[in-house]
Amino acid sequence: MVTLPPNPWQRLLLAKPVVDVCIIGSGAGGGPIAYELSRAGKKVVVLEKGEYYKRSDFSKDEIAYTKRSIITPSRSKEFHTILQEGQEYPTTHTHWNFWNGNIVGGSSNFMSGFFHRLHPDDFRLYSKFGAIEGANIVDWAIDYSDLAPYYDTVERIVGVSGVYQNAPFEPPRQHPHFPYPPTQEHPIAHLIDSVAHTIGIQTLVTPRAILTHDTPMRNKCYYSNYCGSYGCSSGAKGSALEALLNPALQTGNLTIIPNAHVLKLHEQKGKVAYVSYIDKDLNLKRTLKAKVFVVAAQAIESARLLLNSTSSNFPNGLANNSGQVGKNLLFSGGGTLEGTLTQKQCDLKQLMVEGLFVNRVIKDFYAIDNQKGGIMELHLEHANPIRKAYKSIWHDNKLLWGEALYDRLYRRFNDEKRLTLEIFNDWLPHDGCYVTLDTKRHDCYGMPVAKVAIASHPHNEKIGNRLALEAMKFFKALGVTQIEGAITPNPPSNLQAGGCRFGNDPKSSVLNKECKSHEVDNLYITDGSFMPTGGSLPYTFSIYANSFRVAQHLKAIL
Amino acid sequence: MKRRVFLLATLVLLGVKSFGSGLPNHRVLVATLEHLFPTTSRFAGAKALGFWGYLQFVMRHPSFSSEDVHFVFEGAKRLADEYPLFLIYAPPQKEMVLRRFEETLEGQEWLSRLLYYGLEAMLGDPIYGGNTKMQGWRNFGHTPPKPMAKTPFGKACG
Repeated sequence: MVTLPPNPWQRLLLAKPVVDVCIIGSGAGGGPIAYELSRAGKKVVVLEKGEYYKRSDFSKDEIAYTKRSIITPSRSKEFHTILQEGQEYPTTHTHWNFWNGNIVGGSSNFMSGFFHRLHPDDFRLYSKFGAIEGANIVDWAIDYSDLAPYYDTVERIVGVSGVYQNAPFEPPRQHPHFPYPPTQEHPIAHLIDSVAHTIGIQTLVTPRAILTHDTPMRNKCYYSNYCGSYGCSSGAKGSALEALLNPALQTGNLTIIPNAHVLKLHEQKGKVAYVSYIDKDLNLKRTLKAKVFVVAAQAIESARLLLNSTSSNFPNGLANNSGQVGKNLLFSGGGTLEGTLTQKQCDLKQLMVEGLFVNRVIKDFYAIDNQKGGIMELHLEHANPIRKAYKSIWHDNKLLWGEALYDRLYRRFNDEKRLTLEIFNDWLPHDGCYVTLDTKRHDCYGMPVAKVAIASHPHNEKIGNRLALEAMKFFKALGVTQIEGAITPNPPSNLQAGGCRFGNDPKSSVLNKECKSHEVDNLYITDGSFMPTGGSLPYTFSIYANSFRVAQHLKAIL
Repeated sequence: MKRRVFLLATLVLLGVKSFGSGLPNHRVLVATLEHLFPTTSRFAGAKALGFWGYLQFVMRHPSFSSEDVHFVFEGAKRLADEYPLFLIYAPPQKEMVLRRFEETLEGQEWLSRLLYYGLEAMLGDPIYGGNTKMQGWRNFGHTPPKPMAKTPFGKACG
């Protein structure tokens, strides 16, 4: 029987003077710790600033989930200050939004679930490819063999579907087979494969954190045609909520406190003694003691929490006597190209099949011109009728309306589809991308907000543009039309890492290789903050795997 | 609460007593939407799909930008000021006026914003008051999503 999170009044009756583990944040960084430790009999509390959504609370409501900020804080109350080219831009008044899925399970609820393993070279970027001027590239404190077993764990527990194909940049696997067969494929995938083959490019099946058969607590994918940006209504998507927190609740050892906005970690004698937070349901300030504190609030907010947690021993922020907290923030380099497919490229009936995934990735350019390159992920647009329609209102710099708009929309909905090619390449760590505090601006709880410097190293664009050249060759061979998109120096706000990098030297890193603070004995960080370099892939899979790795360490010491 | 106060202040500034059909220029707004999204022999438009009801509903929600509320009504006011007879014009005259209005930067921005909210009303979940009987989706053969919304604006604000 699942123990649901306590209601606000039950929370007042919770009398646990000291729990074993307090986790701040319930997404991909926190979920594995909660899962493993609660199953090991430890008492675990997760503090999550957002609401608890049951599976049945989710819907495919395009307005709610993609057009309004219903699953992120109101930016009039909680915001960031963006620092770009010397100017400060509070996100109260810009299009920037660096919040991502602030509900139980975090942004993993809304991911697309492209689950690629980092390549062994990603752990030794400095040794393999050398220094780049102005970039703070270092090798990781662990190598691929340290993380590989935990990729296996994630594939099994979170659930990853796919098929192994031998290719130059595929990382080695202990088990060749994925625990779940690939998702059903859209007919266009075969066209993509054959066209790629004719120009000497190899396409691979994208591993997805999507179940393709039922499990006791989750149902397989039903191909709703609304996936990324939406919570999953079958439980197939491997969110931290579905895959880890719900099973962990069954142990009776896990308590999730939603709507708990953490203010500060309080240090005494070199350890975190307790955490203070606002219980938003009760509008009360509360505290919680734990033996171990695990911070997993996403890179920007994790760094901000440490910087706000000053004490006499840590006047510059918790675990920040090295001055490294917030430094070397990472996003993802690259950009997106989109093009139109019609019956000129393939059979119309097959093209207009709905819901099925393309699931193709090109990794041939993972290294290119003796430099680290990246990947190209291919996917068809989701249903999202409002987005589809709004992108069709312009013709020759004039607005379409009336019958002309209707005719255009009818064709758009019935005769064509947009194919997206998403380029991911490394966002190099450097001194111009970091998190600090904006001491002039405070959130609705009176705490300084994060100031986020978002400069991109020029090398990011250079590699992105190099990959885009290859992408354009492929798009032309495929015959897609109306190609739009660009490689951009702007950071994708949903792909955050770094800021509290791990390493062996306490002077140049915040965490040791177990992701424990060098300076504070019972403080761990398990979201993407630990990554000194990010690889050229979406981060969630590696965050999950690393968190499972840290969980093993915590089980051994608690 | 603060936003509500701001919204009311905005509407008071616009000289209105309540947020509804008593708004000045709301008829200009509605007429413009009905021109941009006419009901034709093949397609249900603004009137049939309840666009005005949709706008009234979503504009009241905290997630709707107060700047947008102001912008939408300010644009209607400007159109009414520049073309006082807009409401009584026949469709060809309205078309001419709106195309002329489009030639200014502000006019084009206002019309594109109305087109955007019109498309939300036409193609969003019917729970918000538009897309009456899912006719907006049927206009273009769009398959209704599963599951559809049980409450507007997700769980949190439903």
